[in-house]
Parts: sequence; C-alpha cells; structure tokens
Amino acid sequence: MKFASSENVDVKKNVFIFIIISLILFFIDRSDNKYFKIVRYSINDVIIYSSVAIKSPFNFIINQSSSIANFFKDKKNINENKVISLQNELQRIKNENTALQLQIENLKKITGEKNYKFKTLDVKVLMYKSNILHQTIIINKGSADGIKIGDPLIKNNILVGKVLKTNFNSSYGILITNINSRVPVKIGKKNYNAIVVGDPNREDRLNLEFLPKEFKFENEDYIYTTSIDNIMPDGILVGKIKFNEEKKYYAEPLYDFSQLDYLTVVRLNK
Amino acid sequence: MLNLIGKYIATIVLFTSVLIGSINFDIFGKPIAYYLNLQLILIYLFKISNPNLNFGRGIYLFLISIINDSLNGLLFGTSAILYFIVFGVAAFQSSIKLRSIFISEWISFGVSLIFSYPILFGLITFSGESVVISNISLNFIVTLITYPIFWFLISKLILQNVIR
Repeated sequence: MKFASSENVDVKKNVFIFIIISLILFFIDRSDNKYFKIVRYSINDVIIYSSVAIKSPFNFIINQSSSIANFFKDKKNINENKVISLQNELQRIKNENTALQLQIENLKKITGEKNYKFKTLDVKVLMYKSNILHQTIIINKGSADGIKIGDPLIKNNILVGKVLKTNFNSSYGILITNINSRVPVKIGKKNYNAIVVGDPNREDRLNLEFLPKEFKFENEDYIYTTSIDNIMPDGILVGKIKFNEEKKYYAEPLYDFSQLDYLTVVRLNK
Repeated sequence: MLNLIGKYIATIVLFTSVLIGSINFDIFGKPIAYYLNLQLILIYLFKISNPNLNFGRGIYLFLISIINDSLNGLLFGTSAILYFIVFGVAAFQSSIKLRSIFISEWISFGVSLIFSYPILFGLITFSGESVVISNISLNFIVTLITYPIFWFLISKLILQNVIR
C-alpha cells in the first residue's frame, strides 16, 4: 500500500475539484437557466432511453420466462391477461360513471359552471423509481408532445399523480401519495373542499389539509378533483373516505400503484 | 477481457447498482433504496479495499452520479457531492492506515455518512422538495448497519485477490 503517495494527493485534489464542479452544476440546474434547460433535457432523454435500452434484454428475459411458464399452464390461465384487461375496462367505465354522477350533482347545484373538456394523451411508464425522497415515474412523452408541468396523470379515470418535470421526449411524474404532491379536491355529497397531500408515514394513505372547521364524512365518501384556477380538471376520482375501528376517518387512494404500465396525461391548456 | 473487467469492476458494479435501482424489489412493501444507499457503501468499500482505485480520476464516478440524478429526477450534482464526500473520506482513511482494521473502517464510513446525509437533506430542501426526516434517518442507520454484510461480500468474496 502506498502511504501519502502522489497518486493519493492527486485523488484528494480531484475530489475537491469535483465537489466544487458538482456544487456549481447544482446551482446552475436550480436556477432554471433556459440555455442549461436545453442541455438538461437532452442529457436526461439520452440517459433515460439508454437505461431503458440497456435494461431491455433483462426485461425481455423476464417476459420470456413468464411466457414459457404460461405455455405450460391451462388455457384458463393464459386468458388471465385478457380478463385483467376487461376488468380494467369495466373499472374505468364504473369510475367514469361515478365521476360523471358527482359532476352532475355539482352542476345541478352551481348553475353556469363550465364543463371542461381536455385533450388526453396515452403514455407508457418507462421506469418507476422509489427511494427515500420520492416515488418517481418516468413516462415516454415530454414537452415535444405538449406535456407541461402539473398535467394530471390518470388511469381508468383515477388520479395517479401529476407531471413534475419535463424533458423533450420524456417526463417525470410524482404519485399522489408523494408528500410533495398537492391536489385540490372535493369530498362526499356535501362537497367539502380540501387539499390532498401524500402521507409521509404510509404510502396507502392520503392526508387531507385545509378542511373546513366543521365537517362530517360518511363511510365510502368519494374524494375527487376540483378545478381551481384550471390546475386540475373536475371530477377525477382520487380516493375514498374510510373509518377505522376507533371511528376515525382516513383517506385511501383508489389506485393500485403496483400496476403502473400505461397512463393517460390530461393536457391542460394553461 | 477478464483483466479489463477486473480493472473496471468497481465502476461496472456501481453503474449496475444505479441501473438496477429502477428495478423494484420490495422488502416489507418498500424498495431497497428506501432502506439503504447501496451506492455509498459500494464507493467506500471499493476505495478502501483498493487504495489505488480512483474511478478514472473521478470522471466515471461523476458520470455515474449524473446518471443517478437523471434517473431519480434530482438536480444535477446532488449525487456527485455525496459520492465524492464518501470517496474523499475513504481516500483519506486508506492513506492513513497501514493495514486493514475493520472497526476503524466502519467508523470512518459512519463519519462519511454523518457528513453526507445532512448535506443531502440540505440540497433536497434547497431544491424545493419536502423530505421526511424519519425516512432519511432510517436510511442512514440501515446503510451504516448493513455495511459489514457488504464488506464481507465485497472484500472477502469478490475482491479477495486484490493486494491491499
């Protein structure tokens, strides 16, 4: 082993230089400089699509092994995927129906309210990353496809999350269970206004902030989005109110986040 | 070919760990990355096991950190600062020791984490995101506690032929 060799001195000098470079890079990135943004978008797109390409042989092997396993299964099991897809479709229609009924109820109460219609875009989830900081999903469409920061991500008319950052051909999204996610909502038949925030302690719970001083929930009350300043379309289902054994309410997201494959982006024209 | 792989084993393993981080493998309903920062353990262990290792004068380490930032949606430079703090502490530790003493290496790894985690917390908060302190504390503790397991796997099994 070399003791205080010139190589080690070089290494320490390099460490110092790279920490300085990293700090400068961090502050430039944070400043949202428009020229650096183009560089960042390009670098992110290259890295994301390269990672997907590098991982594709592994994914292919995993898919093939499951296909081979399916080959030896009954016909009933082979059709399992078809059944799941039909169940998804049925669920989507049911959710849309519930959401529409809620919207009709609202429209009855508030005359002259506009029924917003938004363009949608189907996207594929390229990656799902979860760490101590946040749960991020990376989708295969970006600013080049008209996606903007804050656009909602939905599946079967259930709110999954929203777009956090965009690149040219990919975007980052956060889930509604993330503590950095804030969604304006209405709750139940009495239409209480609130903000849904992720629960830092449990991923299968949602926190409700800015509730009125007096409120009374019923079991299975729906939580659905409301349009404030056009940041979110009306009537997308978010979750349900439930009561625990101590008769305390809690909010539960409707979407099963373990099944993130294809999503729909609602394009808001701000 | 084997020589080439042997020469770049640390970079290859680190790069793979960053890529694999996007494959979800859950323990008690949470992904591994929730409990521990594997990259910090790998950087420290590879440097301490082979004092001559310098990750291409730091360039490979910097590039891998950019990939990690990109895949995690972090601001560029966030991971690099942490990686180089841990790498710097490992370089210092490997330059002052005459022989490998596990306990002192483990303590100095803890010191590098004590420097890194508050900086991570500061950088994330400064970038405008909320961080749950209990999550970051759990990650710190598990990263420190699991160090001996990775030390055994890497130092004793993978790098057993490396001249220390």
